[in-house]
Amino acid sequence: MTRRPLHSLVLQTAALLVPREHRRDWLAEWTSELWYVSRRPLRFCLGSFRDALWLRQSHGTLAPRLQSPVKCLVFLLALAALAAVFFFRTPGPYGEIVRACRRQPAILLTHLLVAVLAFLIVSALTPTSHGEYPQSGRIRRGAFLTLQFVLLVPLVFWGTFDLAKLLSASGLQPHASLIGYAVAFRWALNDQRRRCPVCLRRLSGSASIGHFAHNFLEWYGTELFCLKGHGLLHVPEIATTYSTRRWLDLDRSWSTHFS
Amino acid sequence: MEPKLSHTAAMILQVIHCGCVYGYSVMETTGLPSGTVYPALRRLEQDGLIRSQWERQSVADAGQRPPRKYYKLTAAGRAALEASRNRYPLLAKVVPQ
Repeated sequence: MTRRPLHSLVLQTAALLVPREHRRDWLAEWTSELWYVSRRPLRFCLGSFRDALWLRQSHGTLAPRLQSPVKCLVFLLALAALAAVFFFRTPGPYGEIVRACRRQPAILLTHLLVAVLAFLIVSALTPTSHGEYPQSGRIRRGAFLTLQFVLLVPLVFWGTFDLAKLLSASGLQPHASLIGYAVAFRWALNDQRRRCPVCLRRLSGSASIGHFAHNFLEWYGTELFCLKGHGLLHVPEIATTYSTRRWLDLDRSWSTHFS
Repeated sequence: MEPKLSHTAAMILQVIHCGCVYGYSVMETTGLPSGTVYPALRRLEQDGLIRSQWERQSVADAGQRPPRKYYKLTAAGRAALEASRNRYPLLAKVVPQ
């Protein structure tokens, strides 16, 4: 049974998410199975993304890519570049946008407004307070968050057009972009709250402390630490006036315990 | 301790037991989408309930088709399926042997 190159392209794109040591076997299985698919092959291929993500997640190889701030930005840049390649190289989305802009130049403004609307929704629903957090390094943290947003906006913009093209459903793009921006912005805001204020690496070693409703007013929540030994973050399960997120700096004497 | 399987995982074990030994046939029999079946197969394999094996290239070449990856229940998988049949009595009716 022969397949159009689009199906192979979808599988090869999904294969990029699979850890390298499993990629060859994974792609061989999906390609082999595709040969036998008689109905809705594209839908079959799109399922490969879920499978690839599961493999990536179960082998714990996605987190290291997002841990260091530089790696996180490079990863987002790579995703945005991949979405851009699909957007500009496949016939359809780019031409449609150009034609739509010629007819109605304000259409790009509409896309921008969708992003702004998603941001307003997310900032109203997502807690952004850092609690008792060092004031130093605010500019660096702000710059990092801004760069994340700068990469996420085109990623969602191009990605949702690519998705609509893959599913042959152009009406899907406006809804997908609103949801996509909301998910992306929420992820960025939550990611910012889980980073070390000193080196901006993602905090690790999430450990539950205390017992739920064991004692009245007893502190319970989660504790995370910076792998470089810069400090600990205490996150209460329920934020109260007497218990809020708190960053505890560790001095150099602790450095021997960390890599 | 016997593992507690979700209904989907139990259904997949049941269809593999009934002879649907590769991913696409599991999809066809259960009606589940590819994005559910393949991750479930990997999870079951990771838990030691099934094991996979590639078909020999010579067999596939003789049939002028690509080789397939076959799945088979392990002893632990058979025990888990037996326990799941007690938990989901309709399982055997959904996918008869």
